[in-house]
Amino acid sequence: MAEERRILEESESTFIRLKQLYGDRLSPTMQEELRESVGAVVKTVAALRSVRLENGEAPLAPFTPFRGEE
Amino acid sequence: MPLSPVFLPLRALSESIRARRISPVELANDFLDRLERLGPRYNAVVTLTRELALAQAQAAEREIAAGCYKGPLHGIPYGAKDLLATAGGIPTTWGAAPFRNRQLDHDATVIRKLREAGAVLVAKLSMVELAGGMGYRQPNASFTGPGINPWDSTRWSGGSSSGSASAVSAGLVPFAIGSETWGSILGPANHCGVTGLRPTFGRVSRFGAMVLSWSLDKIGPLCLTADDCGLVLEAIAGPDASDPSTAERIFQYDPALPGRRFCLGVVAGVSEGTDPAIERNFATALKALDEIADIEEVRLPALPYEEITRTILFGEMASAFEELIESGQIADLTAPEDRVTPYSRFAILAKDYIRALRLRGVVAKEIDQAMRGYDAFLGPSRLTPASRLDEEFRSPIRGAGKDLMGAIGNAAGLPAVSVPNGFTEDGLPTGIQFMGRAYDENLILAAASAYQQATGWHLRHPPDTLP
Repeated sequence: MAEERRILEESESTFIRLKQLYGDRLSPTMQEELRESVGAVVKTVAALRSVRLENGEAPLAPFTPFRGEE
Repeated sequence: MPLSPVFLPLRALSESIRARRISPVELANDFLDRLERLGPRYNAVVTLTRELALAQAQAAEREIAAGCYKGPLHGIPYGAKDLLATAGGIPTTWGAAPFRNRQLDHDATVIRKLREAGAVLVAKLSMVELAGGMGYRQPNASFTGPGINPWDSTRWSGGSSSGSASAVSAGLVPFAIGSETWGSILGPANHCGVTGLRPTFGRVSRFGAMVLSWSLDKIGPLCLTADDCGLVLEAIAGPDASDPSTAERIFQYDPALPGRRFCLGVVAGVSEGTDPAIERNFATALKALDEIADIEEVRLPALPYEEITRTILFGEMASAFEELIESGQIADLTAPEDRVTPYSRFAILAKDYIRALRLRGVVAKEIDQAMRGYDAFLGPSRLTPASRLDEEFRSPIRGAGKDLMGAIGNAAGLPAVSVPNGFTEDGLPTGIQFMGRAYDENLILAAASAYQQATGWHLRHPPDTLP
């Protein structure tokens, strides 16, 4: 229940921030669509946050130092 | 009566070219004519590259006559998804209205490699705008119109490699190049009843290809058979200094069977929630595979697989198209939802994107461990057959529907090949996918070829397209 409320609150605050930035480009119908879409994004990341990760669990994204041709 | 080249697998076609029974110029003209005549029926073509094709075909004819045969793609026409850069005044549109007249000054590495193999580019093929990364929910999401399915003109061809799949299905090209970030090769292959290969991440250079997601995009072939996919992959794979993500490993296609029964895994519940016809055809395919394989059920640890892949996709897409979104140019896109949904991708926080990358590491290790001892994991290629042109489809990318294999395979960068495995009551094709461990393309292609030889679903073609 608390988690659902947290997701709703985060969705709403994120939507408000995006509306402030881009709302002038969107009709009321489009803004409603944006609200729904933001809700889906917040739900998606909430599922990730529920998984415990160890401190040493590194991103699977190797960084390679770059050195150009001499 | 001479044998028609339409719907001939590449091995047969190339043997006829090598033996000079078929002229590359006549072949190019045959397929250019089909593209011109039938392409508009399926909204499959963006640009017909007639002038370039005839020049390349004439060069192939001269080279082969002079005894300089380059290999199985020499003189073979093909089409490329319109997210691959082409020089020479040929537009590269990404399927999106804002770029409909855009011309680039270079060829993508894949285009260059195919040219060097002697293949003949006959068309740039249609695609969902910006490879579907904007969140489209229905087929009308390209400035060339919705991709129309050769099996049923009221149905969608699938996306985002819409024209690549429909053109192969309708016999407009012997093979095509598509791309997949999540589902864009396997989905259209399923819907159009063709064979599609998503290679291991890094097998094929993406230099010159539109970026949707740096760590998820893959380029691969759509063909009539798994064997054809192996031949094309060998030509386009390999390291490329222009794309640092490419692996140093060389891919050499080996169509030989392993000389033993295949060992295949089915992830528990993988076909749950799919359309009944998909579930039924998958079960029937497993029975057919029983003849050549030991099949076991496999259980995977519970992880938010779809959410991980979706978060990576959203985070990278928001950066790749930041300028397009910020500038408001997305207002010119075709699908109304593509003009709104991209703003929501800005809601992904850096910490969540990085968490998804960390979880991707967990998934990659877990799935590789689970796949040890198996040649491939099997699953339906798609949740549903082709949807109607006027209806919304289910998509795991926006959280509607389930695609466990697609989420895992794309997050972990694993290869998968989709082959036709039957039809629905309405006559729409369905597919089965063979997903392998990283760099195991030869094994999954061998298993898929064995299945195709045992069943013959790939030999059926849309009745309206027969030559």
